[in-house]
Amino acid sequence: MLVSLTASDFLRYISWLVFFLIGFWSIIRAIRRPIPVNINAGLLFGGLAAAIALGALVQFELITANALIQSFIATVLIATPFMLVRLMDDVIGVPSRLRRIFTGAFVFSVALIWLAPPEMIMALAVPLMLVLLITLGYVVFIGLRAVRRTHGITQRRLIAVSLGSLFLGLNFAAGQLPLTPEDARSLVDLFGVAAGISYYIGFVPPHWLRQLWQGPELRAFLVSSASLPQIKDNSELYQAIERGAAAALGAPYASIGLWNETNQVLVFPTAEAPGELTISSDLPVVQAFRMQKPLFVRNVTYDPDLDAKFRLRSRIRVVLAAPISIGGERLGVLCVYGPRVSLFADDDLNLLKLLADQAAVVIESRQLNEQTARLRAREESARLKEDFLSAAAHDLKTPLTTLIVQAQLSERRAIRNPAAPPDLIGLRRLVSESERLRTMVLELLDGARAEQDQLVGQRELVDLVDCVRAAVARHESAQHTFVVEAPEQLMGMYDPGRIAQLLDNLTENAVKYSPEGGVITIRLWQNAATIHLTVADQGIGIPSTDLPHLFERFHRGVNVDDRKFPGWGLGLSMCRRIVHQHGGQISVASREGGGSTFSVALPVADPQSQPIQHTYNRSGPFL
Amino acid sequence: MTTNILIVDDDATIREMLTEVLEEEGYTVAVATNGAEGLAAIERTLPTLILLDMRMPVLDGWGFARILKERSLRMPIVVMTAAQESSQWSQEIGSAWTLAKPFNLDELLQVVQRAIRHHAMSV
Repeated sequence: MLVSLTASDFLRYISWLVFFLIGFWSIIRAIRRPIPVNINAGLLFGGLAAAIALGALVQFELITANALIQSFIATVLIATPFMLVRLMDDVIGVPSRLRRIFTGAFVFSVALIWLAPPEMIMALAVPLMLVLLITLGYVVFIGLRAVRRTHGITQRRLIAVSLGSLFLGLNFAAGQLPLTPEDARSLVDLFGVAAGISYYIGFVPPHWLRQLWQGPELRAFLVSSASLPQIKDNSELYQAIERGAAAALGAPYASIGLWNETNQVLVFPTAEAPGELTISSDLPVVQAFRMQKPLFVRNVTYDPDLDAKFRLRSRIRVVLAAPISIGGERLGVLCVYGPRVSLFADDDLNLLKLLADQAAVVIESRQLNEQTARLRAREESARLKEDFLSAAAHDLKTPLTTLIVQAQLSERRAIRNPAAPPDLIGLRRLVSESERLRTMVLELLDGARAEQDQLVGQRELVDLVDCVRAAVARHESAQHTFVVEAPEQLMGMYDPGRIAQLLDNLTENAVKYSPEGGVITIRLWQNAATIHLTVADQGIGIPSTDLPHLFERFHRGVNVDDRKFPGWGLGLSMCRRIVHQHGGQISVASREGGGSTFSVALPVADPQSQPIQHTYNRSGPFL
Repeated sequence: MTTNILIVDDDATIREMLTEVLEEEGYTVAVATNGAEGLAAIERTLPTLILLDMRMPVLDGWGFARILKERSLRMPIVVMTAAQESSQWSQEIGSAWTLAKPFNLDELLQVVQRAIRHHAMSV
């Protein structure tokens, strides 16, 4: 048999080859992973391939066309758009009424094909073709509409699939056009090839094409992840990773779970309520973490308990989860979810795995940084404690010296001259130095108590202006000028002892670090339910490097000459605790050499007696 | 001949108490509240010995000792300090005598006597 190969024949053979390939791969995939999407795709393209094979056999006259074969081919052809509708329903959803209409039309058409007498078949060709074209038109319509809602590789593949359906429709329609048989055949074959190639790259794209299509999303995620380490706040960092993953996969939601080795739980830091899942949970996200492999789960059951706990949205049916791990260390899990199965879940899972690996690098470096910072903080705190001990010992030594020497002196005098009157001056010195020691020891104990937030005791109605004037009187000296700018009185509910301590500390500081003749200005005013207080000096100021640590315990300024200004380094940390425990705020503005201004804002009322309102940040749900 | 002792310390209690102790021992005592006052007092009293606190306002122990050296005044100085680095500070200002707080009456008197005797022998 001699076959003369025309261009048109060549096109047709290519389209056959393409459809055979798609059919083969679709069936393989349906067998490997028998989920509805894959089964429908397998049926569709397997059937098409079979019909094309039969048609080819007929054309090459290897078999003769009989009614059975013609009916089979017609059935497959009419089934094609119907199966496409079902595929679209799996992936993007088709209104159930329309689905029923299409199913009815399909069943009716098939019944006609098989039951109608052979002589009527030709008369049925036109209405059957109309059903076919309308259905295909609808598939193209919803496919292109879905393109607008999807992203990345999914979107590109949907475009290809929709184009395939468009070409298939044109392929069918071209045969019905009033053209010369040669022209019609050329058009049919051309559209056939276009449909085949479109379906091929849409449904079973070759590896290089997938990578090419994944590229932009992956690159976008990489670019955004480069700026992630600059995000200071952890929960913002996790939200940024989630946003990136959701965007890359075109999913509505994503969430990140972090493995807590100590408690053996996965913690979801961005969940509305702080979410935790135990390792034994059978939720997909935990399974993916437990098995340390990417997981795709559809038909996630809606669990009202979980919904109540984690505020899940009931529409979520599909979860893609990938473990976040690096070098065998399990860090957590990244998952995205949405209401529908992606037609291309395998690709999405692959991409998610890449994103999870990238997230692992970011999270790992963040955790290492935090570890380093913790270590440094511990060292710093150890150093501060050491400094504190030596400072404490130092300050206790002077009164102790007076006590010892004075006691011995008085004793010696009494022994030498038992009849002499009591050494009143010496006794007074002993009493006052003991008092001084007592005050210092109490201050130390306060420092310890302040750590446990038990500083502020009984509150009463206090006039702050009165307190300030009393504190100023306690610290008045010839070397400094105090200026107090305040109204008659400012009343609030405070612990008077602690407020006096706060004011003493602030004025003492101002005096201590001011030059001789310096002016210390204290201002007081009320704004709504808050009383404001500022203490400004013209002293040595605070270097900007010290400002962040100023209110920390045992912190002493780098420009503070320890020899000139001995002290506990407790005063300001004490101030902060007193202010915070009163529900207020304390801050400082200063320039080295340019003086310092401490600002305190204290609520007039006791915040404990008011209802507490919490606000939560809303974020995506998670499974 | 009386022995003059100068106490330079910003802590009034220590100053007064030491004055009492040393006067009972027969010394003549002058006091100053900081280094600057101390320099003025030296002009006045020409002390045999100086008891010197290190941390003081206006002019501290280091500055005070440096000026003494510049003026070639070589009377012995006893450094009185609560700091851990007391003997180091003594070395810094070229003094051989240290009274580390808290000291007691006997230590005080012993150091004062030894410093005066040592100085008398070396002159």
